[in-house]
Amino acid sequence: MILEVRDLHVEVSGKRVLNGVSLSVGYGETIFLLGPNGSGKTSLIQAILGNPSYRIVSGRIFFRGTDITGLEPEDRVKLGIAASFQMPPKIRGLKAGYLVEEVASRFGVSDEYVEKLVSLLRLEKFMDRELYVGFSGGEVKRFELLLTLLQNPRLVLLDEPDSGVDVENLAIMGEALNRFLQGDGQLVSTRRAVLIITHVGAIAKYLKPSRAYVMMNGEIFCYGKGEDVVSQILESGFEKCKACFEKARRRVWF
Amino acid sequence: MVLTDELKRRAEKALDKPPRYGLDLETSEFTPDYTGLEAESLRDLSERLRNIVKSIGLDTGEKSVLGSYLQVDQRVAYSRSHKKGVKVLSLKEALKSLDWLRGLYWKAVPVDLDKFTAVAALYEEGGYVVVAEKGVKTEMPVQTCLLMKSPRSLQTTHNIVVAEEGSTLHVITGCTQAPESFGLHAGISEFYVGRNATVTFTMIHSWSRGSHIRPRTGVIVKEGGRFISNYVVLKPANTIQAYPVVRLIGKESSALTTSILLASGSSKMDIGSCIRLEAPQTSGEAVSKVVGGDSSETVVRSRIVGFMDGVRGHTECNGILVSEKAVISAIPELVAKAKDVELTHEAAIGRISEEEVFYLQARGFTEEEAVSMIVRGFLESGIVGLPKAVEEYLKKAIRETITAL
Ligand SMILES: Nc1ncnc2c1ncn2[C@@H]1O[C@H](COP(=O)(O)OP(=O)(O)OP(=O)(O)O)[C@@H](O)[C@H]1O
Ligand SMILES: [Mg+2]
Repeated sequence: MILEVRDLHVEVSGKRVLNGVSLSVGYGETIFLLGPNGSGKTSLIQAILGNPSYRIVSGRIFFRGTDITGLEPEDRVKLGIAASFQMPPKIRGLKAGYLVEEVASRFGVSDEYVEKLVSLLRLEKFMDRELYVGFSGGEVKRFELLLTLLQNPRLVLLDEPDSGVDVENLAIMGEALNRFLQGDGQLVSTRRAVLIITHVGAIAKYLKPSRAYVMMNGEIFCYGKGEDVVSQILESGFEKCKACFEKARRRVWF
Repeated sequence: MVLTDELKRRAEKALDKPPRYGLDLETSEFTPDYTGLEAESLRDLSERLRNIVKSIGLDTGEKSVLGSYLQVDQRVAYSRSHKKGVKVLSLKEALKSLDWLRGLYWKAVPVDLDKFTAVAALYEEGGYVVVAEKGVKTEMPVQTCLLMKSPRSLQTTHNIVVAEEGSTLHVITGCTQAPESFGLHAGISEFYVGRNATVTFTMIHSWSRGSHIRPRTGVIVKEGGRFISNYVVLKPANTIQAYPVVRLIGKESSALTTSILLASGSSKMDIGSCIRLEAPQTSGEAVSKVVGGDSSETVVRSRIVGFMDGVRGHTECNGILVSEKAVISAIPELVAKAKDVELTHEAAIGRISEEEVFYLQARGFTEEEAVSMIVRGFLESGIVGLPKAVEEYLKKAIRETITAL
């Protein structure tokens, strides 16, 4: 397993947001994580990254067999975890291009690769801008993907990469991701994995999910073969899922 | 002594007059040092001095500037202009060769404002005079440097900057000192911005911890003129108190004063500016960006006074605290003396955003690196209204200071 989350309980400013989440991601897998608004998907990613606002009450996180539950965020990143944020902060005065250079040099990515990726994602003209100041929604998503891939990670966490992105740009992002997963970049094709949070499933056109998890109220209550779960939910929403979950619960408890 | 009897008398009477803001000091504890050097070019300086001067970004080869002035303690070491239509002179030379200058001498700053203007007058020696002649527009800056070298010394300086009608002038001043030096700097700066002229004034301070800095600045702007100042303190002294007063006396003139302060150590700064909107359709903006580190205490004042209908003024103070023990106080003051004025203020002071710090950590930076990147961006985003070269110069200075922290 590249990632294993075991019975994770997490609090944000005193409020419980994850209630015993267990989930695993194997090498080479593409996992989708679905769930209604507020169900705890972002919280899970932030807890994996080590965001101090997401306090781990109990449970453990393993990355490639090592317990990373107590590690500093930058150490987790060094091990090979990188994430695209759903809503990254604007940082005034910080040049986007400067951040790109710093990240690339830190992760040993060549200038040619940076250039290739920047042009594939059509981000050339954003390099002189302040980070995310005045970026459109779709531009933020593309820029987040760029920074994430420049970290040359083993595990890619994408928090709604496809929300608010037009078809053409989504195709570009899909291509960038696919090239990356096929071993593009610096690393020889070590096996990587992706965990993607999505509401619209639009990204599924480019990346086939091997498995999918569904989250509700801070719990995982369903998982299955990727395309089955995704098509079910896109078709009939979370209601059916909920009913199925309630049934399962009754079976256990009564 | 070029001081008139009248000015001398007024200065003497003010010798014990405490300053309105900031800590009071006993000026007699500091003595002027006249043993400085003279140089034929900035490259003649000893390697040590040259490095100190370079550390605040000055160009000792003078390739990117129109002219330079260097003062070491009380002595004028160098003053030269390489550009026709722009004069760079020492105060004494200028008072001899420009007969009209007398009419501006001590007119924008009252000689008896407080004990610091008084000592600056009574020990008046060095200082630069920069004049942009009528219609002369330049992109490259004039650089000036005030360097303190001897311990316990008093450095005074009296600078006068004149932009004649329709001219554009950029002046950069770097104030710094040798590490072993500590003392009192009392600097007078008078700016006269003519009709439709523009002056940008960029001052970078990089002091050592022991010194006390008391600049006194007055600005007078005529019709259609524009004055932009960027006051940047990267390495604060023990204490600094500054409160430039900008008078917009000609219609449609405007001013923008920006203070960019990186407070560290146990420094105490009291920095503000006052913009007086004295003529119709004038507008003024006072912006401050403060980073409070260590156990520094910083007071940021801004006062805008509207005397006429139709004038506009705005003050803005943004502060971020990067230490538990640092204190920042913002004191905006808006005074309306006519019915139809528009004066506004905004202030926000808080801890550095944890969300931003974490975001950069998630991109592979350590917490300290993330904090420096955010602080740098915060300070740099305050720099506006300058030509590219000056902007780059400032950004470089900010970058170098923050990486060295
Ligand atoms: N700082 C906070 N203070 C209080 N509640 C918070 C805080 N951060 C998150 N929450 C709450 O935690 C719950 C889970 O939020 P999370 O962002 O993980 O949801 P999500 O599944 O990603 O939703 P979405 O699909 O809308 O992005 C939500 O109810 C949210 O309001
Ligand atoms: Mg979310």
